[in-house]
Amino acid sequence: MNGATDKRDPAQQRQIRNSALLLGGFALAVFIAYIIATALLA
Amino acid sequence: MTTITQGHAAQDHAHDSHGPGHGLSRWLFTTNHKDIGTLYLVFALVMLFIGGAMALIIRAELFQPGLQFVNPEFFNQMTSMHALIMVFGMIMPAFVGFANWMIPMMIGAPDMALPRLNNWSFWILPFAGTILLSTLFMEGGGPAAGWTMYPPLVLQSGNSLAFAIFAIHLLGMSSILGAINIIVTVMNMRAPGMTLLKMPMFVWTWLITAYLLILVMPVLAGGVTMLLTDRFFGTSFFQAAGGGDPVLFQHIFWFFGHPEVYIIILPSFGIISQIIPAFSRKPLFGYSSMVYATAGIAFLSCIVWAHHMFTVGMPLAGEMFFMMSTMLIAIPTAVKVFNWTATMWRGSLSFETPMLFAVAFLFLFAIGGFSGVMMAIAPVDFQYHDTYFIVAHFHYVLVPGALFAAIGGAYFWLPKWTGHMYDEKLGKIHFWLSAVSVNILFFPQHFLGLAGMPRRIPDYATQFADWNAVSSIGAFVFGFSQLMFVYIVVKCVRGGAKATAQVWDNPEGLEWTVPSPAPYHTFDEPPLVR
Repeated sequence: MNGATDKRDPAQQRQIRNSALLLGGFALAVFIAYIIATALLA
Repeated sequence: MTTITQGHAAQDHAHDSHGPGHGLSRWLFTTNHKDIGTLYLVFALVMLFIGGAMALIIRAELFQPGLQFVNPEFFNQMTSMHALIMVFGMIMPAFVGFANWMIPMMIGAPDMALPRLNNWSFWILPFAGTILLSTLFMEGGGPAAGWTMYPPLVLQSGNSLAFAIFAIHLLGMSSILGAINIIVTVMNMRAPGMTLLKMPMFVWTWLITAYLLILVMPVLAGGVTMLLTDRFFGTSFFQAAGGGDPVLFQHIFWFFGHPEVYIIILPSFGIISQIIPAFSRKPLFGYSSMVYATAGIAFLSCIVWAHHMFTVGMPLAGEMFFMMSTMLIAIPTAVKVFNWTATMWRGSLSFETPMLFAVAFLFLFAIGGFSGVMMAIAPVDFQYHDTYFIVAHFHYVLVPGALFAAIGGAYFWLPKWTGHMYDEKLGKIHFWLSAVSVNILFFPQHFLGLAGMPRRIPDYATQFADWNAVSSIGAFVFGFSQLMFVYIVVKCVRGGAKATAQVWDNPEGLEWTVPSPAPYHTFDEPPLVR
């Protein structure tokens, strides 16, 4: 499928996966936090 | 930025087994950043004409007082859908398209860090766009409460609201995934020697934009989810009758909505920062101050949201805070305008089409910026609020601002993408038609707003007739001149004079070291950056 990903060293690949999961987790946390905060404020 | 590049920038990987696929499957299953960039750009262009057609329906109706072509309900659907389509379906995907095409090449990476996610980010979009557009054919029509979807009005919508909210969720998810991909790519995939402060401004502006997206898109998602449960599941987040607070929705929406303005304009700044040095034949003036100004604008954009809500009746201290913080944004923005001007100062200037669009951006975006400062003044905002002055302001920021930057960027990089030079003469005609008509379209709206014409109305008092007629004429000329852009792009893709690797006169950056058209795979071996 993609030549670029096949040639990465495992450490870089791990770092890429970890940063993506961290950012995605942050986005999810903001989504949930805002709903909870609104429920408390409304 | 001073980057000296060396090297074995890119080879044509004819020997590589990972060439482009064939037919439809190439585009459906591609993980190549250039293919996905192209898909984003084509999608944005299609949506430009769909959203543009809605704008022309609005301007046709407003050509003279009275109701001519559409009923008021449909008019409201047009204003709401035009905004949603243009913001989420056109301008944001257009800049993600530029990011996909250019960021890996600019930082010396072989592709985006997460290529499969990249494919998914794009292919969410056509489904989301179709769902959003399909609401127009549902019982009760599409969303008609404005793109801001304020309760309690929006809670009176029909069942199509659920589809519109689902489409917004999908569009937001696509943006978040794209943003994650861009951050991870820039932080992990830069070529050796490509330090953060050697990155081209376009990459910097996109990196900061991506962080903004991850911070604020989930807030919009949360807000519309609560609207959904209020409308269909009996909750009362924003329903006063059940103890909820409608104004709270406005805070949530604008905590997303104001940074959203900068999510659109920061990549535009990045494109302009690439074009002006290339045609001034000088490095960008004050590179590091540009980086800090971009970061400063992004930070300030998160603490100014309630300037959209001065008239809801907030405490005086709140009005003072949001007024002052909003005015502060003028400082880093002025740094940018100064630096672009200083880059041109004593440069060896030439005015090819991309530069014309960039210079027009400088003047016309500044008009939008100045009217923004006017509206930041809380006491006078009470007069401007919800009038055509606001419509004029944000259209100056978004059309001769963001859209001109996108069009200028397309002309700038088209030869790199296609391997052909576009038709310069037609490009210049397209520019002059656009630049003149966009002012005929939007400048009179300042007068209409100051005279008291409210926004989002299909009919108006006869005293507003003359400037509305002028504005509508400008709209039709501007709208139809964009067909010329399509013709120029198609002509350029199909053939034309061969473009060299550098394309322009010694521009700076790694993307100009690879052949034109850029090979399907670039930088399998990382380039050396000094």
